Amino acid sequence: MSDDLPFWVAFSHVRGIGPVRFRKLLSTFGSAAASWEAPFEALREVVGERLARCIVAARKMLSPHELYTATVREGIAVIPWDSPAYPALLRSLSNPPFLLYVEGEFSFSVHEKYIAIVGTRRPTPYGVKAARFFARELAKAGWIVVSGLAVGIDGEAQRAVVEEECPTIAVLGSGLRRIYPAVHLPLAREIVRRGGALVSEYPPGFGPRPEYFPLRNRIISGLSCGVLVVEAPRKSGALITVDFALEMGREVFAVPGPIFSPQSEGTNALIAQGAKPVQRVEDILEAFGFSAPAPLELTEVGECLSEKEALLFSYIDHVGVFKEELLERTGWEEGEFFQVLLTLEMKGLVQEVPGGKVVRV
Amino acid sequence: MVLARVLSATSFGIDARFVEVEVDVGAGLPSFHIVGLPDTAVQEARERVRSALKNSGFAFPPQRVTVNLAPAFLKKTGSDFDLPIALGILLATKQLRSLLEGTVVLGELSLSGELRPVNGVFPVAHFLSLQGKPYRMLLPLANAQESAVVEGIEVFGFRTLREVCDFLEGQQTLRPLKRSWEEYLASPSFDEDLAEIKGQRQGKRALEIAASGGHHLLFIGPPGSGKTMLARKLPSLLPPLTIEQAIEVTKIHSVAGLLSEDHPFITAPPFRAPHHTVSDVALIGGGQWPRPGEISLAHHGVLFLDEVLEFRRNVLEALREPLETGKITVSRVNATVTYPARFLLVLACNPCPCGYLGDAERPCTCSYQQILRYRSKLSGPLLDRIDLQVEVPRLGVHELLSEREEESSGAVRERVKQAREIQKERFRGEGILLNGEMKSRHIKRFCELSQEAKRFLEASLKSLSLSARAYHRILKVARTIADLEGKARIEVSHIAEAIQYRFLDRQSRL
Repeated sequence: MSDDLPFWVAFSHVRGIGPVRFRKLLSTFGSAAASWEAPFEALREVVGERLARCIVAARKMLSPHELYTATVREGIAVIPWDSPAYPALLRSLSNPPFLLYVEGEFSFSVHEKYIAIVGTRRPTPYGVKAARFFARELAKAGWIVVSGLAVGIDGEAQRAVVEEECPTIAVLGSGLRRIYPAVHLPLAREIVRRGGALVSEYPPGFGPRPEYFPLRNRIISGLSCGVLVVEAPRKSGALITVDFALEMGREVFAVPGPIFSPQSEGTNALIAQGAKPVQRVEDILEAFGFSAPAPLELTEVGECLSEKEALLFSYIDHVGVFKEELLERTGWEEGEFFQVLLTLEMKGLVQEVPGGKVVRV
Repeated sequence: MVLARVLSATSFGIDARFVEVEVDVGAGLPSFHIVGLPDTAVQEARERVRSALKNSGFAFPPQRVTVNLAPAFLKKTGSDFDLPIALGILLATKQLRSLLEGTVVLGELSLSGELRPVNGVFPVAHFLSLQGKPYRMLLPLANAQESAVVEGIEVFGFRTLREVCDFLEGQQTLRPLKRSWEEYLASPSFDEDLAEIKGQRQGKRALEIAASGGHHLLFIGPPGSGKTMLARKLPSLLPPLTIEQAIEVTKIHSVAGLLSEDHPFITAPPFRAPHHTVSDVALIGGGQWPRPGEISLAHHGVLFLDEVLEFRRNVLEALREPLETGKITVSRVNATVTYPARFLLVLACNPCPCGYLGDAERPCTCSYQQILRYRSKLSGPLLDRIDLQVEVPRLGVHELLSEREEESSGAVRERVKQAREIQKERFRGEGILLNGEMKSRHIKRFCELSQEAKRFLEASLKSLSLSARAYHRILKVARTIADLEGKARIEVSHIAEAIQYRFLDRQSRL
């Protein structure tokens, strides 16, 4: 088998060869090595004219053994579908990726509680707070948070886990040496350092492509026991992850949001369709038959606010109010108004958002 | 034979120099030469003068005519010398008896002998008034208006060459044109008034602070939110120009040919809004024959750059020197001139590439990366000089229909005046006038904080993760806000408000 692995790696470099076609090749020729060296006519029988040409072209350019050793030398593990190190939940799918590239010390066989946290790339402060909260609490409860390392909810959730010094799994839509988005390169390094893993089905040097991301989402939900959607507008990649999760029979959770917030339209719609609304970590744990961890420490609002702060705070909601309107309602002078507003902001209770508005965090 | 001399002058930069026009008519084959470094427009004076003389009923001498423009080293441009050359020829051929001593002549001739206005007459008039001698100016009527306000000289305006001759021959008596400064200065008329804008309290407040402390300003907001409208009101909040300022501004506009008969003298702070396709020469000044650019036309007024990210990079870079020094030196092959350029800079741009980030009605279609890339274009040395960054949201209908009585520009201008007085007093002997010009040593000296304010500022810098650069800007702006309230020390509320005007620093996480 391990003699065959370099050829698996080689096949993963041929665009167009996915799990289905690869298995077809394996069953026809017996091994990846035999498929790699099969004559053109025989290949054409199995995968068709165009892909057969691709394979022939690839084997002229690529040397499977060199590819394999170079990858391993980079510190990237290659886990084929039939390896015991391959994530069990993912293997149970009908057509899982035939090969995973993994970086990090993380061992999939040791852990069994995986939960995906996904959401929009453009979260509101509320979404960021929710993502961080659930990620942190779930990590503390021993769950492995799986996400896509994207900007927004994904990244915030994973950052929160890393800050707790817990492992997390980032599934990429690009090769492991082409971290996308580049701003999350430091976060990716931190994930590896904290005992988590970066996972991709694409060879390390492959750049991101739009068509890779839905497939990436499939792996995210395939790896996990359940998917928590924190914030998602109507058309969001996170909802693709949910579709896959439902197909695979995974649990779907959604964080309810304000009905006027476009970033919560998708999640609220999911709840309407039957997803489990999540208000506390227990809601997730109970669904899997676990009891609650230590009681939550929710910040008490209202304890340390002055009269004016409390008044202004009461005017601000979760959707956003124009500062202009608040100025008008309070009737205060600019200096006084901004002093109170800024104090609320520094206490972490409200935040300014683009569009001249303030929202509750 | 006869040599005639006529005194003229030409603008140089925004000052002026005398030019003596010598005309020699002598024996030889009929010809007409102009010497003394003339450019093409001056060379073409030959054809205009020849026709104008003929069509005004005079004879052009069938002799050798030589015109010298002295001093010979100074390059002469434009059509200013048509009239002096024509008068010189008439004198040399005895068709005109005399030209009175101390008469300076400028003007362009049409082929029919009518006088046309020329650019840059006001600096010449001002220059003459400084010579300590009661010069007389003979000018095209349109130019006479702008010069009539200058003290110490006599200005006469004419429609045609014939009129000029009749006047010189004593066949027609004329009184010199006279207009007083006060006539213009007393009523600085603004077309714009702050009261026309409904709502936008923060934008208006930012204008007031900008006007008081001389802080440069950036408006960020979606299309149609009223950034341009706000910027246009800024000149009406500035104190009216003093006589010295008005003279300087009028000189610049005269050189650029922007004075009209209706507005011969500029008394209100100018507002200049060049389009984003402007070249660096048009913005900064220059050209083969240096001309003042938009930044100098905005001297003592407001320079507004809408869609600032659309401007070419080199154009914006060129703004750095004048923002620092208040003037610009343009060096060209033909001349090196310095134009004043002390202006309030107002920039405007959209919050993101599509323009609708955070808008209440239209969703933004930009990706996170696009917005970051867009914002990164905003950073850099130019943004470093902007003290106030203010978001201008698009307001809903009910704000626009609000019945609230809006404050007029005049009321705000009074507060601005008082705040400026306080600053003038404070900076006596420091070589600066306004808080916006403070260097770090001034900030250390003049921005005294109350204990509470100090603690508040430190706490907010930390919790909002503001940079050290923001720190200095906040102090400067807080100083102005305190001055508007007449407070000697900076209090918490001043700091809190100043922090509001660091929009970009605070939105790093979007």
